[in-house]
Amino acid sequence: MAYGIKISKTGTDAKTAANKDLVLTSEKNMFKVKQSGTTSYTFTGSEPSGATTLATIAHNLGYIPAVTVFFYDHTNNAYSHLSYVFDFSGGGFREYISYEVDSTNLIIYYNSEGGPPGNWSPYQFTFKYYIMYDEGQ
Amino acid sequence: MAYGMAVSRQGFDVKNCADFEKVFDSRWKCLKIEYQGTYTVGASSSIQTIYTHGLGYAPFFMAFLKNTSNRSVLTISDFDGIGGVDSYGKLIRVNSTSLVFDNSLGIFNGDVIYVYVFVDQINEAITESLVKTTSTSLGASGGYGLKVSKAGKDVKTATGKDLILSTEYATLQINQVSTGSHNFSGGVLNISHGLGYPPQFYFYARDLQADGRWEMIGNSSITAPFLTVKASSSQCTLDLGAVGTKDYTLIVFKDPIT
Repeated sequence: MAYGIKISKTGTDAKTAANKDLVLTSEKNMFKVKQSGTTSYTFTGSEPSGATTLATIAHNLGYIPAVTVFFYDHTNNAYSHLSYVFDFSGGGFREYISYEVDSTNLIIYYNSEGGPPGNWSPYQFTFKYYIMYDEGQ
Repeated sequence: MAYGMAVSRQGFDVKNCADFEKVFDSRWKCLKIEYQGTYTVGASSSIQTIYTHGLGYAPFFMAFLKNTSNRSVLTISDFDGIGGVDSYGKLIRVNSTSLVFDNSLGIFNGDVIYVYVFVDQINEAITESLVKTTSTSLGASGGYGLKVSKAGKDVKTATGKDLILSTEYATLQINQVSTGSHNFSGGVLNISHGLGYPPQFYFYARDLQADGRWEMIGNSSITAPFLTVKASSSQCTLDLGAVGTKDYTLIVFKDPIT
């Protein structure tokens, strides 16, 4: 026997509404946030070459989940999505912050594509992450 | 007579919690998943169909790339693209019939993508449903709750990914969907959201690749501006550079990214 639930938007009949007009229906899955939170990183000193891990957040799901990460750039007062392409030292694009997730951890990292080292200090980021129960691979 | 239903997350009083502390409220919608699954890019130099959705309208979608470290990242968040392509985001596009991967250049082969196609229409405006944006202190946790499982799964034993919803977990509730056309060559696009905090948001734009399809927009472009999308406590901004007039969609969720 099939059970289920449908909830329509206010003013719409749940019995006849198209799926896109429903608030939820047990026929269609939705993203569920397993964990979300913020983590910060302050750059100091001279930038390294290559990749540097800025934060590691454990989720321990045992599979790769869908994850999105946003950031706040304190220096430039900007909220946006990772990846973030920027330039500490001037002279053109070559640095970015991004993230990736495996079956255990979410990793936020910095990477430089080379060029003369710039000065990181002071440069602060706060990251907001959403780790879903739903698969990301 | 208007009926309605709202369920708060565990530990919050549904009568006075903030919108984003609810699991759902019948005054606004959540994104509902029409399809989810893996796609492996073929070697063919062509536009490859990932999924034929048959909805008759272009739906919202998200895609996650398995990178060379066998880790996953939202395709608009991928930076170090393969084969000289700066971002996977613009390669994955949708129209009213299908979601596709654009391998016209023939430089991808075997790349693995996990896609979500949602039921909800990408260019159907939803008026801002602002009700309450200030968080409340935790109410009595009480041990009340609601769980709805996927068809065929026992709600009493299902794990998180096999539940449609649970009061233990937050959901992505839609605050607004704003759509229209904008001449980006004349300046950036600013859209007010009125939440009073920077929210979780995504921009989509149509026809940037001259094929009428929609793509998701991130900051992964290697051409200026580096900060293509951003949010503040009052508005979201899209800066596509001098691409002329394009259709856009902004979806704003109730969750603060602060």
